[in-house]
Amino acid sequence: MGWKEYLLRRIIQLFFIVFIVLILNFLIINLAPGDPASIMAGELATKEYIEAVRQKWGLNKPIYERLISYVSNVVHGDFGYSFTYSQSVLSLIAERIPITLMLTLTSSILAFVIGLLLAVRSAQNAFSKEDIIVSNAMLVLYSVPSFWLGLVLIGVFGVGLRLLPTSGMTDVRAANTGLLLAIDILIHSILPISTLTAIQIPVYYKIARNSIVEQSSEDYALTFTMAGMNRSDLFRKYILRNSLLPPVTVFALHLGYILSGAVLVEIVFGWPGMGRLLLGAVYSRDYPLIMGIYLITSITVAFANFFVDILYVLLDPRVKYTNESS
Amino acid sequence: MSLLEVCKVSVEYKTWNSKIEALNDVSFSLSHNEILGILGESGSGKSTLALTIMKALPKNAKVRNGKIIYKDKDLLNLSESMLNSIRWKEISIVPQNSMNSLSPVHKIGDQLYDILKLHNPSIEKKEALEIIKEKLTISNLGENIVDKYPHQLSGGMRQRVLIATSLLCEPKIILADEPTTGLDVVTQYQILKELKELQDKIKFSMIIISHDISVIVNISQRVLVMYNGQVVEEGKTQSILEEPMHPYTKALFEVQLMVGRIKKEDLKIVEKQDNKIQNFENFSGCVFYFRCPFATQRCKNENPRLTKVKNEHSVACFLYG
Ligand SMILES: Nc1ncnc2c1ncn2[C@@H]1O[C@H](COP(=O)(O)OP(=O)(O)O)[C@@H](O)[C@H]1O
Ligand code: SF4
Ligand SMILES: [Mg+2]
Repeated sequence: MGWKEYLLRRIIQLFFIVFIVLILNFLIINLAPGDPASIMAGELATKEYIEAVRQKWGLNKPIYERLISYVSNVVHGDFGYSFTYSQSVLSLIAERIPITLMLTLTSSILAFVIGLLLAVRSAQNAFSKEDIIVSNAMLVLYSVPSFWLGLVLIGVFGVGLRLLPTSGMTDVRAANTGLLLAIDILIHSILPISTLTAIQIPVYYKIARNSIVEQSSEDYALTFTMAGMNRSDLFRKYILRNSLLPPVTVFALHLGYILSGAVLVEIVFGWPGMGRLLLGAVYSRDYPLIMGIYLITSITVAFANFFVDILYVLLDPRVKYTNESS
Repeated sequence: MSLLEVCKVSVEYKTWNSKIEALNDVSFSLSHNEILGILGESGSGKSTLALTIMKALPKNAKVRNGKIIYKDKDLLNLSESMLNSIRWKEISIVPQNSMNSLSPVHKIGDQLYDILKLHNPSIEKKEALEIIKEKLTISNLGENIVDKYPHQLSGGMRQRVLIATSLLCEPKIILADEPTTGLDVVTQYQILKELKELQDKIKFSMIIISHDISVIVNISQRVLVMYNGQVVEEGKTQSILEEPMHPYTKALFEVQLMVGRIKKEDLKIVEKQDNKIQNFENFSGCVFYFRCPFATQRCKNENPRLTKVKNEHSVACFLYG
């Protein structure tokens, strides 16, 4: 099977998965106890609105017809309407996505890079004192809950040292614009990004370190050493490239949680992203919003998995374009 | 005049709870254009010997004493940079066959190019490619191999790639550590034949290491039999074939070459469990003592030296004086 054919197959598979997610989403709404129309309309909905929802989603029609109209609504970008925010679900989510990505994407990339650099250092002096100390420190950090670390950072840098803002995305009192606003947001993001970065570093560190140590004792490392290649060239040209697959895979898989993974940290730091949106939606039983967030999140996970499969083929020539995983 | 001289080399490995004596006073020499076979069961120290010559022993290994003289220099005493100028240019190795003897995620051509460049830093890519293709061709491979990854090749082809790799810088000496182990018999035979033809054509000395007598006998002019880190017998291949002397060599020959009519006691010798390694440190007798059917009290207390019995045929056993 050729590369293009493989890609096409994976894309079709992706659509299929998204479609199943859609159906599950639909079934959850419809199998939930109570009147689906009033659930979907939300608790604050008026009788007229509930009736309108019933008409619009065809809730008086048989289930398969309703499924078709639900899917077609979603495909056309209609995720429903949030009463708590008086706004369409899709536009609500779209507003929050970049705000969350600012935290999650930045921290994921930082954690990957820092974790990898530490791993390289550790692995090159494997089982040295430094390696053992760093490894154990990482183990401790790995077991720290994100919200707790967030609170500690707030205590130290916010309340204690008074260096950094601890809540929200902007200084509401300052009402900055332009460059000042950008700087304000940046400063506000330092603590939440640090928290998220710190808790993700151990995973990348551990995986990359072990992968490098393992690859360093592979037969090809010996072959190149015996051929006269020095340690640093061997590392740069061969060992690193061979060691990258596991950490890169974890990174790509992690992208699946890029929208939903920061909920606790967003809450601790009052960051107005997807996490806060979801929390608010749950408190106010804003079902259309919850379902919308759920749908977007599941689709992100599906896309991340798709991305990993493609990446695998690009990074490792041994992976055949077969369909074992499907 | 010999090309390579190995003198009284001893190597030990340290593990967390013990020391393993992998080589004990190993001495031999290699002449120009000679093919020397090293025969011994698994664990007898053959790979350790090859790694010692390449100075690529693992960290937990220590060369206790000995010299390896090549061109008036002791390889065991060279600086890293001097060493890297000898590796591959003068002495190269065909590593023990495995899936990952080359990097699995780099194209074969790129890997060979990197090795070639190590020793010819100013070489043009085009010229390098010519050399690589030439070495692949003489190793009985197609030129298209340069664009392949190791996993796309069969075991035999991978082994030929390793042979081509070892030829890249036209070394004087090639070490081949179990070059055919793990391949089917037909491929084994072909590769041995190709190696011999190559050696005939482009002239180099070779040390071929194997646990398999038929491999050694097929290709080498002289044989070194190793047991538990020591050379127990050495001689011309013909001489050893006609008259194996050491009880271990004899048993090995009986079992491996005359499968049809194995004597029970020979099989017992070869199969008998080794319990010597644990109490090796305070044992000063013959290395083969615990498995030898002819052992005497003297064998328990003294370790026989390798002594010449007849023309260029030496053995380390009290049965021969
Ligand atoms: N890295 C190592 N650490 C400890 N012991 C080793 C190591 N490599 C080899 N040995 C031991 O040294 C002895 C010789 O091994 P080796 O040279 O690989 O033998 P061969 O190649 O003849 O099979 C064996 O007893 C083996 O267990
Ligand atoms: S010296 Fe003794 S124990 Fe050793 S091989 Fe000869 S007879 Fe056997
Ligand atoms: Mg070996």
